[in-house]
Amino acid sequence: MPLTSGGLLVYLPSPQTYALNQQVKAPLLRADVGGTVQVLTNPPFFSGAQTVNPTSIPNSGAATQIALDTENADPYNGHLVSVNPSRYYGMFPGWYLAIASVPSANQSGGGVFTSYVGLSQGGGAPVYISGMYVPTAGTPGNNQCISAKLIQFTSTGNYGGSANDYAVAAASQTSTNATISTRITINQYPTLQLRWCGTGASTAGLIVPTNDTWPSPPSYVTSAFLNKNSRDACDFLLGPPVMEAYDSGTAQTLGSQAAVPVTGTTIKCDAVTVDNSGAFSTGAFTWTAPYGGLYYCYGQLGLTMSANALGLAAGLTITSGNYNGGTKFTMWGGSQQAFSAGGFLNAAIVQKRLRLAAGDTVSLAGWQATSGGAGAAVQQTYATRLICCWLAA
Amino acid sequence: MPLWPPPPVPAFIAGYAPLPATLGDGSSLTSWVQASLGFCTQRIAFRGRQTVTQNITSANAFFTLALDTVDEDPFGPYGTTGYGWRSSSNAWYAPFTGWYEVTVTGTAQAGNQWLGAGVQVTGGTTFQDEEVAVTAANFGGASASQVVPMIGGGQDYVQARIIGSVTFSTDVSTAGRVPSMEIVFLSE
Repeated sequence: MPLTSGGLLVYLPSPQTYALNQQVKAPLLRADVGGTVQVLTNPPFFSGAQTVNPTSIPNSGAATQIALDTENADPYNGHLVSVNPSRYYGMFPGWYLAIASVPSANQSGGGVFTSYVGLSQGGGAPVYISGMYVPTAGTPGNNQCISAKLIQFTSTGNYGGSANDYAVAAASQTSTNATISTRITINQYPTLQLRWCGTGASTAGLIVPTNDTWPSPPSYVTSAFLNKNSRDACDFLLGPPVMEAYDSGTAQTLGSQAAVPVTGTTIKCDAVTVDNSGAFSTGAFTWTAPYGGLYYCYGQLGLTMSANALGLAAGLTITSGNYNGGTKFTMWGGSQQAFSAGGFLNAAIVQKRLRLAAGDTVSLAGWQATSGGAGAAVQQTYATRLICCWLAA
Repeated sequence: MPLWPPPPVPAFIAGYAPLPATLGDGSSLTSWVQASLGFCTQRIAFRGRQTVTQNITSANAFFTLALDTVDEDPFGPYGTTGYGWRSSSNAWYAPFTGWYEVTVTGTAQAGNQWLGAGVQVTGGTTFQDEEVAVTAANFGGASASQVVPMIGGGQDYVQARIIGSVTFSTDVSTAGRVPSMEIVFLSE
């Protein structure tokens, strides 16, 4: 069944190239500009929550999916409360920013709790990508862990298709508690949010649309004007910059520091999941904003910490004239306590929407403190990652 | 660059006579293409932060973050337009109806036991997000990222919220620690 929004067909336009002396007909503009405006003013997104029945998370360290019994927003009907309520099916192809946020109820005993974004490509069991890892013990112990991940839906369609892609929120715990429930109060409950971030197509040759005023006679519309203000403008807005980098295997030990510094140690993300603007350097571990604009930036630092670990923090090291007078510094997510037993994974995050100019740089930074000053091993694969998505000019 | 409001989806109905660049009734290529794609390019955004320390005077209760510095608010401020940032209530009023993405960062000076951040719409329930136990010797932080619906025209508003298990003061000692809120229009 074709997707609609507000009674209008929603599709992914393929903006055409205009040739010299080509007649500009209504169907062409309708297909390109009308179609682009339709999907950009009503983009696929989802906001689901668990507000009725909590999920019991067993002491196994394995991800348990969170059933979402409430739909705050689901304009494309990718979620169904009555069938597979933990799943959001991708209804429209492209890259999505998925954010899972899971609070835990009061607990006791030492251990760790985490949330995940899970992605199934092809309808099978999901692959789970962990987010924050925090100690289970604490007062009052109502931790709420966030995990953000860029995911791609390619096989789209709803729950009726067994091979369709879907995303879930999940959580796990490893502790002295046999089970830990998700926390549901009027203020706090598990959520899964997704928002379309575009096609991920290369932005090579494109600029941020300038949306020029249309010429009036005796001036006339040229093919170059149309290619800039229709084709290229639509192409950019349908596939703006998206980037996710992660540590795929570069060993790194993060030294202990008593205090969170102004500028943190750069974390070596050495591979990318997606980078359609070619903006991340896997050698310098730095992302350079390819265009000016407002970006969603997320950093996550996963550390395997030593015994007597005290705390950790993730940060975004920024060099931009819009921040700190242009002087390089780290925007921190703030310190959080670490699980003090050695050998456990701890993970902290930072998330911001940053106004950046083309050429500004962002890299992932970290801090950790351990009594005795032991170093901590940076956790590899997706436990350590950096996300940057263009949102607006 | 002008500020464009959220557009209707342009229809481009076949059978029109050749269109001029602009017409008084809005049925023109300028409004159908320039203004429509213009809004999709720039959207609606707000960024504000706190540079003066705020004392959170009660434990286990949500407080609205007082953001004393506005970095961008093109459709505001409230005193001029009836929407945008209203400093007297530390609230951002939506200029147009739609779904907005809101990011909040709350920080606390060292010594806080646990910390949470959230988003509140028009005085209703605070939607809390991240909550962590912070270290005793270093500043702590928590963030929230929520998609919220708001009725425009200055009717609905959003506020950044913070909660801690003890009384505390926010940390504004460096640019990397300041509390903040950012808002971007997502969908009609």
